[in-house]
Amino acid sequence: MEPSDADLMRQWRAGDGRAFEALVRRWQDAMARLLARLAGPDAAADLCQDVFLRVYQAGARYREEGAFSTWIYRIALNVARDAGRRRRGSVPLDDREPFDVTGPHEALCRREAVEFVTRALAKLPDDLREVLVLRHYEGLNFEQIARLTGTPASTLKSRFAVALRRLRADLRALGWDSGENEP
Amino acid sequence: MNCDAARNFLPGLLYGDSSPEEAGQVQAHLDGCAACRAEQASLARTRRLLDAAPVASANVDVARLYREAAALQERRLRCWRRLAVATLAAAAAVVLLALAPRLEVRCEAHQFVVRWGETPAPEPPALAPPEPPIVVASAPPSAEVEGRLRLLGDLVQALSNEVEARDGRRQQDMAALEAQVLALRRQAGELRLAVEKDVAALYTAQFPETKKGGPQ
Repeated sequence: MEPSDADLMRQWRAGDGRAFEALVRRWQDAMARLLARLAGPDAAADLCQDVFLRVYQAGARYREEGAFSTWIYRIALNVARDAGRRRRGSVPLDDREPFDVTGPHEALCRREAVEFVTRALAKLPDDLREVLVLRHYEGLNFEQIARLTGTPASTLKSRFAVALRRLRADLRALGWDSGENEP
Repeated sequence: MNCDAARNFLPGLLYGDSSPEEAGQVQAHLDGCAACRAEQASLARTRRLLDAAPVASANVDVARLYREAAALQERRLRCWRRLAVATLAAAAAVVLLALAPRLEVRCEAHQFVVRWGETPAPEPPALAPPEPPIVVASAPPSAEVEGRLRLLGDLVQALSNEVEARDGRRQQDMAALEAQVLALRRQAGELRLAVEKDVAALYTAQFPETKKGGPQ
């Protein structure tokens, strides 16, 4: 039976470096997926490294009352928010050219769908993207997201509805036809 | 339930977040509203497209993570050290500023003076001292002074006598000169009379007829 996250944290804080490495291996892919959706796939690897660096530095302040998953998700959200703030000084995504979808229907393959979604997600404001990612991809319910972000569940529910419609509008602006170009 | 209210519940219905009661009401509306059914279908396609989002993976470099943590720790320590030094320097500057008026450092010809203590408070501006009254012989003069004074008096007296004697002599000289001038004036008058007589006698002797018949 594999040790729980809390067990590994306890062992690591007791001086067992292998316990920390086991935590990293257990969570690194989940964090990479989350960060790719929150901050873009290009930045995911570096941000993932940053998340575990913060985990390492904050290990002494970890309290066992809360779930490890909540703690590490909160760290990842902060890392993604910081990256978002830094990214705002770079080239705005809105200035990029829309996709060329004039080819045959088959040309709109899965790779292009990935591009559509990546860019549409990047265009969303941070708070809308967060709730959309946590609800759709991470499968968290609004109560869990509320505990994670400190935002009331009712607000998150409204925000999620806005995010979904905004994403659809952005996809259309990028050239996706919701009626025909579905992958 | 109208269309606006129903559409607010569509995302919740799509993700199974609606209560059974809400879901029943929205479904009843959708059964009779083609526009809202189209909206629901559009949102469902958007949801399915979301699944095309990239699936990333990562391989965290734990060794690099340890190195970065050590470097960060070192940077923080340096920052704290700088902050401590700056704080100490600021405190020292404040203390120095506060105590500087009590410290006196002076470089003189053959010594370097460092003195600590209260600097004497500046005295209030004193009123101008009254002029000392001129007192003549306010104290009994000594014998030496008396001798000198006496000598001085004698000198003054001698000078005065000398001046008076010279003045008298000059007056006598002046009187003698005046007498001489008067005598000369008398002699000059007498000579002139004598000359006039001689001239008259000579004229008479030379021109006797002229005296009777007048000159021709």
